[in-house]
Amino acid sequence: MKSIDDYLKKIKTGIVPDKFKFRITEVGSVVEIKDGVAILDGMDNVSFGELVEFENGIKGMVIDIGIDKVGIIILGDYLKLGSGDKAYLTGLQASIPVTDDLLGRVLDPIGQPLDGLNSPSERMRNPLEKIAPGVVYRQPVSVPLQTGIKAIDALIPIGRGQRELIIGDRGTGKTTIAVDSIINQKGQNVVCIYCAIGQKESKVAAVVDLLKRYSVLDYSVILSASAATPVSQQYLAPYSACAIGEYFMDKGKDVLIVYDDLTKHAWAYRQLSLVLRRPAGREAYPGDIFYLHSRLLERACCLSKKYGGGTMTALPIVETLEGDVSAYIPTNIISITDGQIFLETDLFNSGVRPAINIGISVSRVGGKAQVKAMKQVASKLKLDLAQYREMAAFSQFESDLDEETKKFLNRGSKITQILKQNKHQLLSLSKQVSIIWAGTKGYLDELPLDKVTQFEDRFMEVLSTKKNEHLKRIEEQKAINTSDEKDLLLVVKEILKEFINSDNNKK
Amino acid sequence: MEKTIIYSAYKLDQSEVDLLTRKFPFIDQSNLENVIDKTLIAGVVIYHHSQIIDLSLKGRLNNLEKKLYEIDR
Repeated sequence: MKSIDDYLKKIKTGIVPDKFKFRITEVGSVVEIKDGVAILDGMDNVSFGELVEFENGIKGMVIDIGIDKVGIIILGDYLKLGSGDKAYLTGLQASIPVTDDLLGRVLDPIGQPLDGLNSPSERMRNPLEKIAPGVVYRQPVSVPLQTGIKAIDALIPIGRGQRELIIGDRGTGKTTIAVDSIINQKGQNVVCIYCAIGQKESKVAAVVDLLKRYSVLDYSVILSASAATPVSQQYLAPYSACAIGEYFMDKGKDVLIVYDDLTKHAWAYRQLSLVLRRPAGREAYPGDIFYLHSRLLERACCLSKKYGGGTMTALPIVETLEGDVSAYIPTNIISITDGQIFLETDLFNSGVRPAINIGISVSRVGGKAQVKAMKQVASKLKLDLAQYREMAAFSQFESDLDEETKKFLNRGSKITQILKQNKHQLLSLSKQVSIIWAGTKGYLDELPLDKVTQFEDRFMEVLSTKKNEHLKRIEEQKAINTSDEKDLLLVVKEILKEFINSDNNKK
Repeated sequence: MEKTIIYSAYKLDQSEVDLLTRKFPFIDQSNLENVIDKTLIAGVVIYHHSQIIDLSLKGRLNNLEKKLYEIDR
């Protein structure tokens, strides 16, 4: 309980200095209420995107302005409104309060807390709608964002300031990749924002729990507009998350923002547009469905040093049906982002997890966002995998093939095995480089396929404990030189001997 | 010109109406209605077109309540 003195002090500083200024408030009265939308009469001097407040405290946002009517999406329970209810303009554009205290919090799209703690202070508000920084403000992406997932960091590298789409059917591991990227930012001084749009409440709770368990909630913000919330909140959620990200980016920080997922965001916007009687286009989406996502994703950028040098990396997630990436929303977002990571159900079911299809996944930033050490090992990896894919059809005739083809198939299957990774088990840069180096140099070719994972685990174990100085050197230099290769080779030979001995003992 | 409705806690006399018209030129004295609302305690609330200008004591007390609630957060 605070003492009365504290209260009185706060009142003196907070209220007394305020001079009385009268405001001309616009008022409107409700004429129609539709699903999540209210049509108002009056409100002559209203501007687009302004916040309104109804008499019973429910907030709304202006989204349609007509000659004698105003359309408002209701950011609350629209069932509590009735015809004739009055609404007052607040004079504020739709915005969300932003402070440094947002780290570690779970919020809804209008800034209200969902984790039971205090509301964030309203000292500074960031607008939800903002034109993205122009060409002059930007610089090319050059710093890598390590996801901790071998397949991504080696073959589809993501840089800070890039937009990389994660696309796949349901249940292929899209959210897992995004959340693993967040977990891997521990100690990297990156602010992470997870925006849940139309997700199950249980799923959002599971994500919060996961982040807490890995102690990463302290540098994350979670913004949730679950499937039970009004559609207007689902529509605004990504813009709120982006506004929070821009607050940190303008301070020069690196931000990682995950939009999970934009398909449900498009559905929410479609519902609002159809209720507002806007003309329907392809698949009943409104005409500005592309602009809906392009203006959101363009705000994720890499600012030049002159303007603070902050970056915002966006990982939007899109769910496809039956692997159809030529549907309306997926093609829209593919053309907006700087690359995509395709996840396939077939790969997932056959045990390749993360189920990334390397052949059609791409990162348009690519090697520019890779550390030298990774570039050295990744080029050979790409080549080996490409050759393996070409020969993959022949793998069923293994006994009738020539030696060369058999070699490619063997190498490819070993490398594919290396690229498999359990969820939430992330590897640092040096560990990734070490195991990929061992695979591409062919030291695993003699090992039977079912022993490759065991070899990898043992290799990592030895490197983290007895030979930790090798890893440290690679991390510091960010490159592999011949002496490092010699050291790693010794470790590899040692472990291979172990495996051969244990095999002999079993026989 | 649309009607202006002025809510006040007691009946306004001509000098007070003249003062208001000087400050808010959109008030048309021939198209004016003065309604008594004791709950305002003091001051006036002017309704014109879709606009409200709240100069009543009740309005200022409501604002104070909101401010105190915000400070307490």
